[in-house]
Amino acid sequence: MRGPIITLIVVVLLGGILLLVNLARTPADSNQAATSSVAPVAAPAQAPAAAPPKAADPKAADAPAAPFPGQAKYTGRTEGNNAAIAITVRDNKVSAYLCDGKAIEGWYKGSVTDGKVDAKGKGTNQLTGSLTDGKLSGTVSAEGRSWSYAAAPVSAPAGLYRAKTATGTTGWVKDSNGQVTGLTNDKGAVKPAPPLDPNSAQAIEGGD
Amino acid sequence: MSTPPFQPPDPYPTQQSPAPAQSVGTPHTPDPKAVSILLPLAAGCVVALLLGVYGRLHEPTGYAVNLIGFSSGAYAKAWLATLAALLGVVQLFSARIMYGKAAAPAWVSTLHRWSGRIAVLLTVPVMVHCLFALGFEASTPRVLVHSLLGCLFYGAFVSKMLSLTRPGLPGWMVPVLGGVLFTALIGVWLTSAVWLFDVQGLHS
Repeated sequence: MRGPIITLIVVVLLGGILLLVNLARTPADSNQAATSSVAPVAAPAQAPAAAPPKAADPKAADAPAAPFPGQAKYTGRTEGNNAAIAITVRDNKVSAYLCDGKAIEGWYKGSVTDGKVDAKGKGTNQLTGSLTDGKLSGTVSAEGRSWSYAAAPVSAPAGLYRAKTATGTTGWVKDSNGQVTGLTNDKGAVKPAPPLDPNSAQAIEGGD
Repeated sequence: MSTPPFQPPDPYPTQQSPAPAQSVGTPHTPDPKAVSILLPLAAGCVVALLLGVYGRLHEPTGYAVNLIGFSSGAYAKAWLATLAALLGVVQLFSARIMYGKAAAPAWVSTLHRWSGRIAVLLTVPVMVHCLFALGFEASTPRVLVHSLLGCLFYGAFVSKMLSLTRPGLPGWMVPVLGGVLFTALIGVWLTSAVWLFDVQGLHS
């Protein structure tokens, strides 16, 4: 009568291993971001004052690639004009969103190291990039596909917006022309986004 | 009226045992039978509660490592859950034969054991992804029911595995736990995979 106990142990072991794999593969930045999102009221209020005008990390200053400003937002399109992308950087932390307005979307979190953006999203989704003459370009992957992209610096109200509601998480990319691209993701089900309401949606900065 | 009057009802032989068990236990010592019933149930309750508390307290990451390599993590989960639900139906029918009036062939219990093991193992990656990436949620009735049934499923599973190793349990205990497991599994599947197939379409 040891069969059920062995079954139980195998199930616990498999669950434990998968959990450990997840913990090991989760970038530390997403944990920091998750911690900061626990207190969303405090974060935006402190952030503008705390953000230094230049990158605080001394490594960035010595980096061969162009250093990022302390706080910056970029919007652009992927190759072939397929999807909109918004990348926000604050204190070398990166939050980004890719969205084609139809079916493909993805959130990315990561950091800037030596002037290079490296952010990860769901599964194998990844975002890389670096600055050339103030413009950000690189590659982004989602749904097992990968595109190159180019994005230019923008200022509010352009940028990246997010709203979390009962019906899921919605992301919007608003470019410098005012054009908005968004999608709602409800536990993996992607559907059209409601119109962007800047009063209710959160303006995302790097690390949010 | 040629039937012998005291012939025990064949499928439920152990249901007659409560009377002698009560006469054995004295009022001041814990009934060993009650203990052997309550221990697996208590262990199951603890597991269900711990899963729910973890799912609620752990800040969802929004994503998790996808070991399966499907087109999307949601569909990998949906298909794993669908396979598990199908094996759950195998569980139901093989249990029906095992608890039927006729003696069940040996392969039926082997089928029942292995379909159950595979079914639970298929659900484990789904459960880990749910807990790690999404967490226990109550924002809509669907996700609340799904979260509760998901916790209940693993609680019932632990209770059933522990009950199977304990001799002298009432005959209804394992079937009842099996019924709870099947109900929870189908409920979890209806509120996730079937919902996803309905909203997003039936594809891989």
